Amino acid sequence: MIRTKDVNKIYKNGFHAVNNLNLKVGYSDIFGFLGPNGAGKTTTIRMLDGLLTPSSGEIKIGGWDIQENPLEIKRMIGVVPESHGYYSWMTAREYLEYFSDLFRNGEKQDDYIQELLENVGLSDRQDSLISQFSRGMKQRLGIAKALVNQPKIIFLDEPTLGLDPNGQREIQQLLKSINQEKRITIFITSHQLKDIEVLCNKVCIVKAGELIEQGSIPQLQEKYMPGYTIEMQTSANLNLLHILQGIPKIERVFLGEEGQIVIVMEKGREENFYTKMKHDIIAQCMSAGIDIETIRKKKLSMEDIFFRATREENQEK
Amino acid sequence: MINTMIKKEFRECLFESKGLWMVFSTAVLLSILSIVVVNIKEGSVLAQTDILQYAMKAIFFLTFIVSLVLGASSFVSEREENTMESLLLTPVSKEMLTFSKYVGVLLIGCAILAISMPYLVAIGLGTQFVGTSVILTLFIGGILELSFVAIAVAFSILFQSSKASILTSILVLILVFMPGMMSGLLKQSVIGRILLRMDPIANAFDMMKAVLSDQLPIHEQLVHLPSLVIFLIIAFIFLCWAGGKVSLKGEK
Repeated sequence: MIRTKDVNKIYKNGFHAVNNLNLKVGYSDIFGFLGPNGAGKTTTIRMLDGLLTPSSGEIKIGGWDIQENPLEIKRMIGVVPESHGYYSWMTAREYLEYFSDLFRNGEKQDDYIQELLENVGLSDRQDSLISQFSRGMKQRLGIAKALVNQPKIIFLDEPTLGLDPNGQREIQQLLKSINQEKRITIFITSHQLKDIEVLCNKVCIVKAGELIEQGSIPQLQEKYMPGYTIEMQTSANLNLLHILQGIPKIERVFLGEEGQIVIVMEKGREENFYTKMKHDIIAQCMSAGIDIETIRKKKLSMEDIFFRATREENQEK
Repeated sequence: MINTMIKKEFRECLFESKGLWMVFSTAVLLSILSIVVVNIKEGSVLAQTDILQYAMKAIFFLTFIVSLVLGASSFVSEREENTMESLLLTPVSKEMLTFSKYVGVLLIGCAILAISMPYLVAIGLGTQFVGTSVILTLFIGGILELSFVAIAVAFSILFQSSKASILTSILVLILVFMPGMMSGLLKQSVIGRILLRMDPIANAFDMMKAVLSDQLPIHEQLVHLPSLVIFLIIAFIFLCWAGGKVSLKGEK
């Protein structure tokens, strides 16, 4: 759906915002585009939606070259820009009708607008002025506006920025349902790594304009934490350290930041490896008379992956 | 599509850019002017045609000031409110966007000109020049309104803050008005006379004076038209050039 090849963006002042970016986003993917501030995320989105021209490289959206077919691409995409502005003197319905007219050359689509208002939960406020809307409502209206031309892809730049936890969850659910029901590809940037973890099936991490990671979340979890890791809390964590180090296929055992025991196992390929290892550990604890309070498989969060990826990049440099 | 855009721009000028308030203020100012003029007209040392010309100049000035403020904030306010990006992401061309903003502001200017006509009639009542003054105001005012709005919208594309855009537009208005207001002084020198011949406002005032005070036929005064038309052409060229430069530049 989206493919970029060696895309570069150098601004007039010489700032190299994007450096040889190669992206591949598939049909109906929810693609998370991550990076610290100033990593080139907004510049990339603006190049993908045609607002900025790349200094070099090739961008194809739905098979169309963005430089040769900008109008076709504008009709195919919807965008919720960062710090989205609204015509506060319009009502929600007027706002959607206005953008609908711009895309459809005046052809009315009242039923579709009604459907959009219902989908984003604003049908009961459709005749209220936008100036009376909360931030979350405005953001949902922005998403409805991005869908007004029935796009195949939507780009969202920090869609949950400044929203309270309820607002964040509403946007997450809305985006998930859009993706599942309408099969729309979603390209999202966010500093809320939990959003990314919940929503995205693929992510990429950029730093200083360069791509440093790309793949599915399980792939990245595997890359940054190979093998299995178990976290457990017992009645005698310190004593258990020595006992567990004797178990075969355990690579290392240490105390975590919160005093819990962290057990890193060798990469096991045989079936039920994790279950067998868990049984062995429980058996050792029982024979030593140590009570287990909790035991669980540890997975890297998106936050861990992000920090590790960006930190490793720093260390390499 | 263009109807939708013009309608939106017109409504935006009225409601968002305080256009409604400006139109109302203009009506109040004209009402005060009319009351004052009607009450002193009998005893005034000024000829009635002179009073009529002052009223026409006041109408021009108020119309252009309001149009300039609205035109100069048209694109800048989109950038300041972060709504520009959404507009640029639609299939609407930059030229179409510029045209719709231009027409939207123009409609407000036309509305002010229309509103001011009854006041002009009230001021000119009892003279034989009511019809002529209305025609002259609409004709000259129309051409100058087209020009000034074009300049203001162009500045709003080029500048990044509404303050800079509005101030520059008003400065242009003052510069263009100045020779017309100082014609007596400027006629004393060769450069001044050249300036007066080039200046659209000075020509407009001369035309008004010739028709209303000297009672010469309008068609004989068409000699004053070229400067107005040239000013209009320059303003349009400036707007077309700026229209191609519509961008996100300056968005917060």
